[in-house]
Amino acid sequence: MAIKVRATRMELLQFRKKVALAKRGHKLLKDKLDELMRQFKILIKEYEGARSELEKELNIAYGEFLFARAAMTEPGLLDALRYPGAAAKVQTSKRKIMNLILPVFEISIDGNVRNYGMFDTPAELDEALEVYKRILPHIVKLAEQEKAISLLAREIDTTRRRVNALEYKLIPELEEAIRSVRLKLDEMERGNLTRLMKVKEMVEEKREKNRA
Amino acid sequence: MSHGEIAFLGDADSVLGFRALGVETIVPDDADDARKQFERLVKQKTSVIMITEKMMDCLQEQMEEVVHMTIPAVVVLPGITGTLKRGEDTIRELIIRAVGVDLMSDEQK
Repeated sequence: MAIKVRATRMELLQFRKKVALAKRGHKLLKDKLDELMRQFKILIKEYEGARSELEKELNIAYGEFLFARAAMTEPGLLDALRYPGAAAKVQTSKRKIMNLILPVFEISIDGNVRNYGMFDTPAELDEALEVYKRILPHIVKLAEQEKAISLLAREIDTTRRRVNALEYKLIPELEEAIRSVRLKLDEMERGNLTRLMKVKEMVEEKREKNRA
Repeated sequence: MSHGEIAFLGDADSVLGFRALGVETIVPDDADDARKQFERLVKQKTSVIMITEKMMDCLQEQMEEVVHMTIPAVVVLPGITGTLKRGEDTIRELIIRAVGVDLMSDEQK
């Protein structure tokens, strides 16, 4: 118990207000945490398995690309890929979960991926690029999901800390403080009462003596 | 709503194919260069930054910095040499830290 208090009625009232506030905040935060958790679970359900699937596909694409590379000379490959014919653009919009702003990506690939001559490039290159083109939207989707998950995970972490700090530290301490103030006030009340009784006794004694 | 770019930071073999799609491909010379390039991409407000698993080690700090930002979204992909499951592990770790249990593996069973 860390809170030092003066035992006055004023303090007592103030502490009562503080506890009420802390409890309200605690309830709000707890509700927030529940909602975050719910959203988090939805996200994870969507995300599950997406990555391993993507990695598998990416591996296939890499394999194709390696074949293409092997079939070409290094400068030839660089030449073929020097000027990209397609332009991958990402439209970013925002979506909100509680207080978090999450990005939503929408990808568009314009133009022709095959921006090189047919003559000096092997067919493998075409295929590899075709696969790359197919999985790029998945990669962007994955990026979006992972971003959302990591942002949410952080928020859950801090929110839980706050909830716990309120629940196990602040509120018990405040209640303890209230208790001690009340005990002291009660004690003073009792002390006062006995003193009054004593005084009254003394006064009455004096009066008796005077009358006699 | 805004337009953004995609960038891929990694070794030449993994990255090259994506150049044809209009993805900005960057092959850093060394760890320092990688860090510089990454910071440049962040400043340019690149929407999605893809990096290979190998790049992860030298970019740990930089990635930590952008975690709380909406943009860029960093996604870790396996390089051409095969997957080490690093990307999945980071996400899994995050989930465990947030929830306390491994939600993903539980549901896979």
